Amino acid sequence: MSHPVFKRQLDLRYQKKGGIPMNGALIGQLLVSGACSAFVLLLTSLGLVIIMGYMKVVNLAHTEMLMAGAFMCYYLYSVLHIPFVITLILAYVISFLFGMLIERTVICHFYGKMAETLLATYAISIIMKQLALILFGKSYKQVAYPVSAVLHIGPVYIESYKLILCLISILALVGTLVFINKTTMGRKIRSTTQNRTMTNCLGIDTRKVDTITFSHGMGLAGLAGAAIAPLSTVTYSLGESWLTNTFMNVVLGGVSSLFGTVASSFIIQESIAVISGFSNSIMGQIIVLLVVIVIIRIKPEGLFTPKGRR
Amino acid sequence: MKILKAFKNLPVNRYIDMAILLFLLVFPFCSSTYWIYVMSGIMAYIIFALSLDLLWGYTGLMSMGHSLLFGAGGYMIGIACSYINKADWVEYEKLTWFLSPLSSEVGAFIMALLLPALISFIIGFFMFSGKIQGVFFSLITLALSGVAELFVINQSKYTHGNSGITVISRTLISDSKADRMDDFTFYFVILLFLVLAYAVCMLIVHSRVGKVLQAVRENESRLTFFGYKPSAFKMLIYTVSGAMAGLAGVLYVRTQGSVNSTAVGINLATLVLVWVAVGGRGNLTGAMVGTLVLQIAETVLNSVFSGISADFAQYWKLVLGIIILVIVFVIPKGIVGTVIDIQQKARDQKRKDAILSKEE
Repeated sequence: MSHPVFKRQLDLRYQKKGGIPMNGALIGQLLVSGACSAFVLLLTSLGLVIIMGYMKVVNLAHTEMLMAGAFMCYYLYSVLHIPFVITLILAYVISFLFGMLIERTVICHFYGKMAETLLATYAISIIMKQLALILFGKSYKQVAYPVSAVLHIGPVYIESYKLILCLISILALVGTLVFINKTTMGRKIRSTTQNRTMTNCLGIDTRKVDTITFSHGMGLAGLAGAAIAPLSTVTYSLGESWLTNTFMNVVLGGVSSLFGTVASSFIIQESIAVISGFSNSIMGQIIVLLVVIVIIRIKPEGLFTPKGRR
Repeated sequence: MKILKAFKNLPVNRYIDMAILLFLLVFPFCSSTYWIYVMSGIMAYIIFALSLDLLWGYTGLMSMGHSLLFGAGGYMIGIACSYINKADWVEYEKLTWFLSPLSSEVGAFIMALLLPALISFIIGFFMFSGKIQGVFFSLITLALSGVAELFVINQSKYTHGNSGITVISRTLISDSKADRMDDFTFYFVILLFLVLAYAVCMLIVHSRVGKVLQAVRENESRLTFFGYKPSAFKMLIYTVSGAMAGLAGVLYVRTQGSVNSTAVGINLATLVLVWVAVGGRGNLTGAMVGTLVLQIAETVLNSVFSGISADFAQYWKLVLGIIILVIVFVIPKGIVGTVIDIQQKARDQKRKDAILSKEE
């Protein structure tokens, strides 16, 4: 990090902008905000990874569910003044129910048909987005921070809400891991993924298992959407802005282990944060996306996946 | 007599092809200038849809970001035009080295075909020579298209950001106003390109390469055991498809007289998927039918409803979403695919009856 060329570029950049003295602090700031964004990305792509990993369904409506979650947060928290924690739980529950509805009416007809699932979930995402546009209009809505303190740790600034987001994200991850690995339902989910016919023979209703897996994924998306609402302007196109990063994350991390997702969230967001410091966030995204394409050429199974991908 | 019999045995989609060609030939003689202009744009879109059908319908590679290649072609023309005509927002003196062919008109046209081909070749090289399959290809192309839209808005030095570039319309290669054709002539230029593109598609599909491509779609691992190299064929078709999408982009931009960031974005990528899905994939006719039906419907409905509600576009997209759902549920093979199936069934029944009556 202390490469002289790096430092000079940063120095030049900040001299132009009014001469903030350049030191390790900026790098530290970039790394810390990158880490926070990594947790946010982990939270936003968790539901997608679960649905994809356990059901082999690519849920293109995922990012629109984020958007819906953000709207829930706006109406429940900012308009109805329900406490933030309860808003999050409500967002999860509503999204869970919505996921159930979608799964029962649409997704369950297309298991095992890749192109049809993609098209169907794409259709759902278009419908959700346009409904949001028609119902809520084009205006931007702002959700106030539940906690607005800014922490100073040495030279580095952190918004306390971002720390809370990290906490929510870790909680969601741990909760999901416990749900999948320690509960009876989780065991059923895993056995359905491994061998559907055998699981059916044991008297487990795999259709119900599918519904719950999918709804949990959607629920997490809604929760994530509600959690990120204060960070971003709530509008109908919120989903689109998350599309690239979440799907990139899934592609890089692979789908069969959540650990891969954690690692790839960090890789993606830290590199975007650092590159953004030198140029801008869009260049960061482009460079990272290209690097991801090169990486999966070398490691086609994703970073940490033992199994082959389909 | 023989020709007549051969004609009778054609699959039904060839009749539809001929009907479409006839329709497109007659159309400009009995419609207004506005509709000729609209139809020119739709024909450029048809070429775009054909290029996706080659990729998705025949090879089974569902590209969800095909507009990236379409827009790459369009923007090459746009940048060249703004440079040559010295548009008032242009501040740079010289184009950077990799854009330098754009300083000549012919160079721009060639670049507009080569750059999309090159992009698709590079993407294809990285994805297909590894073991990236199926859905991951779709996701990466989707992400690429999303990023490309941001990139184009970001690089406003060359692309004029959100406002887009105004291009001299209704010329093919030239960038001067003097060479503009009238709508009527330009319509036939695009029609010529459409026929050429269709012929190229037919040539590819019915060659040995085309058979291998369909084998890639049906069972890739078995093809590998036969000693073929699927990745090479996938790269080939992706490159060809990319060049064709670039051509479509050029023609569309030349029709519209402008290019902006929607040309590379996810919106257009969605639209083209919908056209091909509605029409039916895996037979070139479907792509054409889908594009024609949906685009004409949009234009007509737009003119009808624009008096009632200003927000027609958002309702139309909602309807499109519902159309995809219905298509996926009811006729997953698309309109033309279903028609072909019905005809096939009828012919099988006829043959069966003939055999049975002989036995009696």
